[in-house]
Amino acid sequence: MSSDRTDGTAVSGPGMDQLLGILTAPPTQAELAGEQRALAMFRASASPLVSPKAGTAADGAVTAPIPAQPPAAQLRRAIRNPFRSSARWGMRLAAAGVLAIAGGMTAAAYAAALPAPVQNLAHDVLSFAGVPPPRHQHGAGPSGGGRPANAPGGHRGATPGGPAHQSPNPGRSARSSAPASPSGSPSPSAVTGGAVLSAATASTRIAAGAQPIIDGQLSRSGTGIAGVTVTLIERLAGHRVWRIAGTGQTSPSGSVALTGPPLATNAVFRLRVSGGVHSASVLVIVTPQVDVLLTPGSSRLRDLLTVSTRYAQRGNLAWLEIQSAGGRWLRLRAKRLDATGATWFILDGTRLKNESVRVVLVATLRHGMAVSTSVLVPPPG
Amino acid sequence: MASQTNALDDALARARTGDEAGFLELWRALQPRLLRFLRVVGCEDPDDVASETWLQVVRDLHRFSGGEEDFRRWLFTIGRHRAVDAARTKSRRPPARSAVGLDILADSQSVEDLVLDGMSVQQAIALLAGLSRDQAEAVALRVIAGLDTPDVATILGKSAGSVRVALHRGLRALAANPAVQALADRPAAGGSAAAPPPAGSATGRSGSDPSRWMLEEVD
Repeated sequence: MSSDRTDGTAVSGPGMDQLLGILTAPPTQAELAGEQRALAMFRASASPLVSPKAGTAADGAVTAPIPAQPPAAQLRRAIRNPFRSSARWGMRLAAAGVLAIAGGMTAAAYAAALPAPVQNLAHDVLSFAGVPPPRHQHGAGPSGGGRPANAPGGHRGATPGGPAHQSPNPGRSARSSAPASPSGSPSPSAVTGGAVLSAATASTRIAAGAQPIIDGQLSRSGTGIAGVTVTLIERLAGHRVWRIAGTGQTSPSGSVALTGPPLATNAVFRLRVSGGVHSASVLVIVTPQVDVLLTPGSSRLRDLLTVSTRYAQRGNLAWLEIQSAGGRWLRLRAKRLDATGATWFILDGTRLKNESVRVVLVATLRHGMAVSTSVLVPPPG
Repeated sequence: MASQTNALDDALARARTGDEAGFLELWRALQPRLLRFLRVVGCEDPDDVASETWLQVVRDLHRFSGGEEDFRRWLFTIGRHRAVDAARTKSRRPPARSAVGLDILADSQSVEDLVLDGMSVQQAIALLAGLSRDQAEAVALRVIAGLDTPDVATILGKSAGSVRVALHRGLRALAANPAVQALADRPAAGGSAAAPPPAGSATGRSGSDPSRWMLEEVD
């Protein structure tokens, strides 16, 4: 290394010591995260010319002898994230299978060639695209004989609403997306004797503890059917059984609005009439309440951000977030709720002074994501 | 400091005989610096490129001869080549500057210490990445990789004089950056900035003040 310093002062500005020190700072945990992969790679690449030798790792663990040299492909496998290889191929195969099945099923659905229950299901989902209902129902009256394909009994053993009702994201639910449209526009979903019962809600997301309102429309050939008792049934997240949540009668126009009980968890709703007709599922996501309270510290104590929730469960994940200069919220730290649905974060006022922070409760099967109000961290005082 | 270098020399010798502990010692000492260098040169996926680099290293390690400094030069030479290959494969365009910032930090490491304390490292890398390509590479190889100027020149395929010029201009640009000047008013974050570098690091070879040897070099 040269020892000449003819122009050294030209770059010795303020902050340079700190900058160069930061650049050579000790490694972060993330930078050493790939250690196991590197070790696997080293093991896989051991040359047969090299005699296997057991060693002792820095942490004291005795390492195993190196195996013989594997094929080059194995080396590459060793350095790659397993998810990127096996899972990627698995996903490709699964996607191909789903596409093949979906393609065949869709074609059959458009031809109305599926078994009645399946055809009815396809009609529920793809009616907007012209998939017809089961053929045998056309022209059949209420006393047409036999159990309607879409009668509740016909679905027993299946999963009403399918897996979609378990998804906290209604946008991903093929079955629930149409009836649960925020616009509230109902869509025909079940047919028996020409009767169509649809369900929708104007609020697919409600505050936990609030009561959902499910709007229904019973009609035949476009004409509302009045005076029919409609039952609202619900299935709570994590439960397998459907239970009655309310009843009401259709108005002269065939419409009905039923209010369910206060919801503490996500739920799927359906409307049903005595003739065996029921609507498609409507998913309602509940949003727990998240409150934060910032207790400023003193010169010796750090700030305390207390998080309390309602309708969240023990173990749910809460993220402390900080707002960047660009307005984006960045996740800093996560903690799980205790048995009382509370947790807390210790804030360093020196580092976080004048920054806005908030807490985000991660969505689970039982509830949607919830966000607290933001609070400004005061300078340490 | 010499003992640290000797320790890495010893680790290298053991790794060459297939000792996993020796390899891990090398990897722990050099992987962080390799990642930082790759980020400075605009590598979009530094983890993958670093893995490719180490793959070649372990594949050819039994044929390697030399000491710790030779190994470091070899490692960063491979890393730079892999980064160039990755950039070509990606888009047939020069590698873009690393958009190191809060967004990446938030997506990669959701840990407060990394966002707040480690932010300094990322910001420093971003500052380097903001230099011209020649200057950024020269400074990164000199500061982060801890290579001597002749080694940097060999890796970059340039003369030692041109590397010194690039170093000088790059450091001068950094020193004139208001963000760097603002660092002077800031205490070392959690001691990380002022902490001694990992074993075998460049700064460790020349003293605890990293800028001292840097300035010695830039003449």
